[in-house]
Amino acid sequence: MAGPIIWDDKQKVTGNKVTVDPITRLEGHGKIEIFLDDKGDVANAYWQVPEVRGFERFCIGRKVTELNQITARLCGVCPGAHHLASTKAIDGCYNTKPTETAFLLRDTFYNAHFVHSHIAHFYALAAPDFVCGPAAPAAERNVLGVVARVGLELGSAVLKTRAEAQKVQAIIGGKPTHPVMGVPGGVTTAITKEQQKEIIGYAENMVEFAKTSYQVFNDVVLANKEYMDIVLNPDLYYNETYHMGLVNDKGQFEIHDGKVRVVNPKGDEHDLYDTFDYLDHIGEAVEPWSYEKFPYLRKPGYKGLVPGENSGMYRASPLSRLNVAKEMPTPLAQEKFLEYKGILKDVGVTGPCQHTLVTHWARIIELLCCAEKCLKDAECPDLTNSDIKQKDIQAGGRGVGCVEAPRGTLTHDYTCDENGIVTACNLVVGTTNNNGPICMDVAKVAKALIHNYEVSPGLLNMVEMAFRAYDPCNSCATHSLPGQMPLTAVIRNSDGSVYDTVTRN
Amino acid sequence: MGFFDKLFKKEDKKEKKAAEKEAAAAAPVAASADETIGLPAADLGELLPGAPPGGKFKLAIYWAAACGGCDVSLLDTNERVLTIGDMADIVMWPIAADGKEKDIEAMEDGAILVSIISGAVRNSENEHMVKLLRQKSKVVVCYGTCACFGGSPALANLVPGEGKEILEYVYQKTPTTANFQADYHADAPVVPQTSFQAPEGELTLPVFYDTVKTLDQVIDVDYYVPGCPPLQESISYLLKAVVDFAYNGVPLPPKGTEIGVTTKTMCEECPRKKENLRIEHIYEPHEIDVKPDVCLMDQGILCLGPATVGGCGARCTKVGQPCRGCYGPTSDVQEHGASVFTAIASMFPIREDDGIIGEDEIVKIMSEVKDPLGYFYAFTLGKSLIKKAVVEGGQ
Repeated sequence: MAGPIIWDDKQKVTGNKVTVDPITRLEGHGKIEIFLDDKGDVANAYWQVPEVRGFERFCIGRKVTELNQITARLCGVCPGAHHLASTKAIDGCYNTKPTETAFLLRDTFYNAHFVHSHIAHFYALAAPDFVCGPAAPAAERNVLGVVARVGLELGSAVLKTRAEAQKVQAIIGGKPTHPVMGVPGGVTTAITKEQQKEIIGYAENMVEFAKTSYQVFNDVVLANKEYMDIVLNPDLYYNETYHMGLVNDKGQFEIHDGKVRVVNPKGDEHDLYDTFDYLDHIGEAVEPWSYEKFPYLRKPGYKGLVPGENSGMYRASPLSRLNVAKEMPTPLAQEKFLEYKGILKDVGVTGPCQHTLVTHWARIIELLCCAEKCLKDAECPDLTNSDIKQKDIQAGGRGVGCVEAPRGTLTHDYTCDENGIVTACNLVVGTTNNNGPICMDVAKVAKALIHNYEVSPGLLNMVEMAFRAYDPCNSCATHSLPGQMPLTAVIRNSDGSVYDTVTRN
Repeated sequence: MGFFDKLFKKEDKKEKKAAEKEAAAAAPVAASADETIGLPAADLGELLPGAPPGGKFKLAIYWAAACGGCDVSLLDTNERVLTIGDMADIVMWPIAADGKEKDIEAMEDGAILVSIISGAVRNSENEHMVKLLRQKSKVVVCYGTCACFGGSPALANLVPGEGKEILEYVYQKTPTTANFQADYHADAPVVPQTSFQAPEGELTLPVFYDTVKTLDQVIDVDYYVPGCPPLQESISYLLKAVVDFAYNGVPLPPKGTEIGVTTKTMCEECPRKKENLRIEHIYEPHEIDVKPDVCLMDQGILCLGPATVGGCGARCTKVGQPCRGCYGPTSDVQEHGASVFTAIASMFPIREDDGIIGEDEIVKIMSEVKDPLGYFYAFTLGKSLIKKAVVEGGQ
């Protein structure tokens, strides 16, 4: 196995604006604008999201029970998260909760969803940066490049396990992309013993595969000193922010149903609140240069895109969830969680981990935990029970549905009248939580790496790695395929005309 | 027999076609044995082949206003997706590869063989990109429900006050933003601007349009593949058409063809038994114990199956949810919602010999359908003649 390629030759550019505009998707599209000063250093960098579709407004007037299908279309990459958060909000609008069996089926579904999403992210998106190296030729920096280095066997296991996680979602939800099972107080359909057996088989494979994935991460990243120096460099992928995530009543990691816990940059508990009360705790700022909002903690408040304890910037990501959880609820994940905390402590991380790239490591521990939970749920004899929905429920009122989406805390908030017609709708979406911190990380890395007009394709990729760690919907499944993946930076004169371009081939 | 054997034995083509017809005719029977009723997947062999005889062709895959589910559906072809790179140079695929606008601009007109475009046209950037891709492509495939019919985002066309109202709500009236504006910008709210002068230079955003448009309302398109997202069976027919053309010189289907659908309605694929009962009450799935084998419409659950084209394999009705019509109307119908309405109206007990209820009763039953426009046009409002909301009762 050839070693990863971490650094490449820089190229001198002229002009004062570098546009990185191959960035793809969060409700569509994204771009990074890097402004250079007179010395050719980075004056500032902006992560922009140029699309909005207005779901919050056009959901008004719809039947509330349709919203878990409509809002699933917010994102085809994590429709399972939207479907579940929405279904929980609908439960609230009907003043009900799912039956025990329905909860179990939703939970099985959702853990499988996490497994599928985290596999896609780690192998298709993150692994190329580490296994092949940030400066490896773009044509190699994809899942095929990863497979070429780690072996075809693992490559087919990736495809197989992801496909099986999709199948679990299809068995319970009808379709993996845009599932349909959620109804107020339950799910539409019970599953058979045969289907349960099938799910157990898939879940057993998931656990094995997750164990392998942890080993892969260990061998490729943790064992590589050069990477760990980058990962732990406080001048690069590092910002001091608050962290948010759901926890269960024992304070353990939770994705489906719990309270929101927030820790401050020192690691102290800043907040622990019921998801219904989220408006008292978070707000969403608007900046004139992006269609994506910037959530913040109302205490200490919005101070702009700056780090620190006095700024309301918080993150909600795998890194955050492992920062707020006291432990993991499953044995194998707990073992790795302790190992993770131990290693971080050895390198001086005592409070919450603020090293953005550690998010990848946290994601692998979550993968293991969700695979274990999926198996535990699937083996439960009650899974095939017939009490799949509540009876005699009535629409009218407000419901707040909150889950951990793979990319962060996701909140759906609806109000409907007694006819079930929606009168108000608010959505605080997983990736959106991290919008401010992503901007901050992108700007910080750009400032640290680009000096004296010198830019290289590898450096630009390292700027991209700042946002990729968050797996914003912009990037999930991104960069996963064969074919060319050039990145072009457009260098503009101050009047906006194109002066030069740097292309990563 | 491998894929190449099948493809390059041209002399066998007639036989092959006959065999395909037979297979298609036999499929429903064969399929029902393993419980998959509906469109059988096209036979693509084990994997897609290596480069075509004439060398790789250029392929672009683009999303306009989309959720990415269409792209995930292409990724869900699993190992097949890995071989697309052998067949074609992917010149653009934002979710998976990085070809960019300027690379496309530099190409000769028609240089791209196929552009697969998902998503509706929601803003100026979407419009610009799809027009550019049209100019550079021989074939444009309108992929997925948003591109074909507007999809869920086209429900925005029901909002009175259009773009302005939508942006106002999103950035000022949702409670999280309302708190922000009140706490920090009580006098003049901060909202996104298409051009903003930051201290370091200008930052721009696309213009948000008033109306969600389908792809064929903005550019000329050659083929349609509906579905939210298109299912693997449907995708297999698109892949087969492209592969047959590129490797074997088989002419592409006639322009305007809807690929990956059946000639019948979704009901024909649904395993539930239809007894054509009359509706006397309308229910939602959570309100009754839904019988697993009986037609949902017979149980009073409004299902768009009778007016929706087949091809999806009835994935939703199999798990007890009615069809919302994501595959769109059957071929000769434009007004999907009106077509559903007709189908439902025919199920009311109003024949002379029924003699059960009068007009008042029908109105009463139908008034149980809240938000009929949103329900009957859940996916196809972009294509409907109903372009603007009818403001009634305050929505």
